[in-house]
Amino acid sequence: MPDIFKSKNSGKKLRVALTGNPNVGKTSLFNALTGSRQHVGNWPGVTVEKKTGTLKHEGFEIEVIDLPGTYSLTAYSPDEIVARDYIIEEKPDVVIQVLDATNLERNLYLTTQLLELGAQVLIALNMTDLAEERGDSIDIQKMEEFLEVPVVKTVAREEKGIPALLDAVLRTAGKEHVHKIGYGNALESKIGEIMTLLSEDTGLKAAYPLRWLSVKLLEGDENAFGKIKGRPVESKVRKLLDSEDMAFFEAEMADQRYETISCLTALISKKPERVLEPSDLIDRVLTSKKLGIPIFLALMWGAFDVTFTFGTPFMNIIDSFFGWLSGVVSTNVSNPWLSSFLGDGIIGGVGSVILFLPNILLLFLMLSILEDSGYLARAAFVMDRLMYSIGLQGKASIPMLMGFGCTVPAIMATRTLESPRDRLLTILVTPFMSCGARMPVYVVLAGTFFGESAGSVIFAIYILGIMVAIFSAKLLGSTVLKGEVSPFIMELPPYRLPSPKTSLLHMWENGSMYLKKAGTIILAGVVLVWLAASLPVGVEYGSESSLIGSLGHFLEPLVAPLGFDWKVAVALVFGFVAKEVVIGSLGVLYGAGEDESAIMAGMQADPALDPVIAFGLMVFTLLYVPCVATVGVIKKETGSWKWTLFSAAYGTTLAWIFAFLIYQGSRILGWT
Amino acid sequence: MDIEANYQKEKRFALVLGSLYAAAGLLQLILGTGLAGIFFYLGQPGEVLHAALLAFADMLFIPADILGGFVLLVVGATFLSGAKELGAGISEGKAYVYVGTLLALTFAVVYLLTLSGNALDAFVLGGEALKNWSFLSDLKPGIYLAVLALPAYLSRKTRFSLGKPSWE
Repeated sequence: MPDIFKSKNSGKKLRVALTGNPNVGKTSLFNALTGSRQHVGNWPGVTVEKKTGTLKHEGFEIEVIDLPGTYSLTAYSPDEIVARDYIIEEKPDVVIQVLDATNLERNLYLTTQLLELGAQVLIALNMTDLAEERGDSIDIQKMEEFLEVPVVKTVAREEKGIPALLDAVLRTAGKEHVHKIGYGNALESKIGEIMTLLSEDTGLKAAYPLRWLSVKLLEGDENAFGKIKGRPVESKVRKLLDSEDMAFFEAEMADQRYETISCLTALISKKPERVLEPSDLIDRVLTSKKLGIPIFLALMWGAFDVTFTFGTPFMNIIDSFFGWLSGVVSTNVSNPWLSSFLGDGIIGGVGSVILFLPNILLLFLMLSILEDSGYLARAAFVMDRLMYSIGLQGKASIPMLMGFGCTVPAIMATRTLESPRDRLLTILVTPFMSCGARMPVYVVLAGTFFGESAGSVIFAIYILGIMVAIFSAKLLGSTVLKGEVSPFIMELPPYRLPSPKTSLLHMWENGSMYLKKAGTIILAGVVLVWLAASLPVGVEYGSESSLIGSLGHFLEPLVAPLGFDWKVAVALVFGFVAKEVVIGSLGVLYGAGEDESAIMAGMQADPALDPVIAFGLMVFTLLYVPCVATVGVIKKETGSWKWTLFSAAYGTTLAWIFAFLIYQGSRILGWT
Repeated sequence: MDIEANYQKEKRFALVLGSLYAAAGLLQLILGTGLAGIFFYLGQPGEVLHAALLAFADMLFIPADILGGFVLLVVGATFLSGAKELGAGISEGKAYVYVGTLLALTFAVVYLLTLSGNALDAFVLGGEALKNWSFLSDLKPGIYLAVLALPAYLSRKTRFSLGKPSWE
């Protein structure tokens, strides 16, 4: 009978947490175990929050929790705290540490901390194929003896070693085993003193492994101090540690852990004489001082060029389909209200958004290929020098690059930034990176007013977004968010040929989110626009005397200095629901429905619009308050209404100033 | 083939391809920015030079394209950096030649995708905006220069594959 029956969660259910350094194949293992299709990326920080899945093995129902990747269990970044707190507070039956066999030394640091935590650890020695390919050999038996935990070889990408790992889970669950790393007499005596104090508190004793908590307190871990805050022992512990140099203790303990690790690696692993890897050589070029940034810009241009040009014929196909559908509705539905609701509202509004699905899918495919190849991590490295000069660290460039796809996951990805200041600053500037949802607005406006130069104008808008993000980071970083930039430490993953399956899957995951949005929030938005354009009853659809017209006229004075009329004001208001709705609303207001060429013709014929105003509108759409989903995630990630409102107000103010300068400047110069 | 002769071969290849890419990129950039108009300040000979330049660009399908020109210059600079390092006896200069080859092929794929998208629009969907489009309309130096880079990629492919330490 497996030891599981001695487990706290005895019965047929088990909870298993997956932990490990970033980019060691945790998400691949999670997918292999649970059969899910979570996104696997080739850069650190893919898992930014816990993901769960279940499986059955030998009659047991096993719940698997994929924790964010961490290098250690200190509390320097939010994802480290998420991982650590889960293991301490939730006490999973087994903690599987996914360990990269090609990088034992660095990965084992986390192992030492997991063992100290008193967790029931099981090691999945992953990427053993890559280690063997380069001639490394690891003695699994010696490793198990030294660490006193089971070690199972896996190749998660190919789903190898999974049954053996699951058998080991059943053997490990419920086993009580205390692991201890000796820190030398002086430190051990201090640890002992703190443990004695902590053991007076029965609540603490029940909740946390006291040796671990004592070690953390001795290291000056703020999160650990939070756990004793307000308890009677707090003052005693603080008094004991007041006169001590905790930074010294932290460094000493890290040294001891590394000493243990070097003893272990010397004992268990043999490596051939190392030659330069292809990845190292490619990095000489892609991360070089002179060519790194130009190559990055050229690759980004390539990605955008494919997105915009290759997607056009597919857009035309969708356009024709919705045109046909609209015709079918208008000929077959005799009730004018229903016909208008279906034709102008649903088909017109949603159709004008789905039209851009090919571009969105291509954009995500391009980002996915760059990410899966390992290049995105290099882009962060290359950008570090530039980012540092604007008061951010290179790692901030990854969420910013992801922002070209969708701002919501991009803002969640800021969790990989250790410093709260860097994180907040990145959250505030990421919405300026032009997301895929804004693209329909640019395509229609640039296509209408800039003819053959449309591509260059759209590219200029993207560049402007980057420039505004840089300017804002510099401005906010030197005023409201003053502080030192934290050092840039990031693992560069090996280059890999992107697998078509993974890249297409990633593209579809994001693309289907866009489709889902079109069927829910955007549909609701366009129905709202249609209602406002049709009421009060009897009014001409979308006319100035409709509800939407009144709203537009009410707002018009605010945007008149930018050259925008009431129709644009209304479209911008509804754009808060989702940016795509800007075009859907204009379609309704110009009575053009989903027909892109009819929207373009309507705008071209409108004397209130010209190339300058259109450019101002594109810039306004780029910079003003992000969509409601983004605002929600900013609130969630900052935990502050103050910063959420600041983000919305700052963006909208900048948008107004830029559009004002464009319009009024052009007027003075006689361009409009 | 001994190592020195191999370096020389690599260097010549990088030098030739780098120069071609850089020249094509520079020309696209000059035409795109309108800098070619500077020839008019030289009077009659300048006008002749200007006309010759346009005819030359037309013959080689070199468009007036600032961003496209920048991309070709980047590819050219990568090859030329490789040639410089190999010329100085630095064996790692091969990395520049390899990355240059990869970049050349990557951008050729980008241009080919544009071409196929436009072909689909013009011939299958009958797009109004592309009614006078032909394959030659989208034939660019980024495509035909990559044909020269392709054999280099294929010859290295067996010796250099991502994820394996087979670099010579």
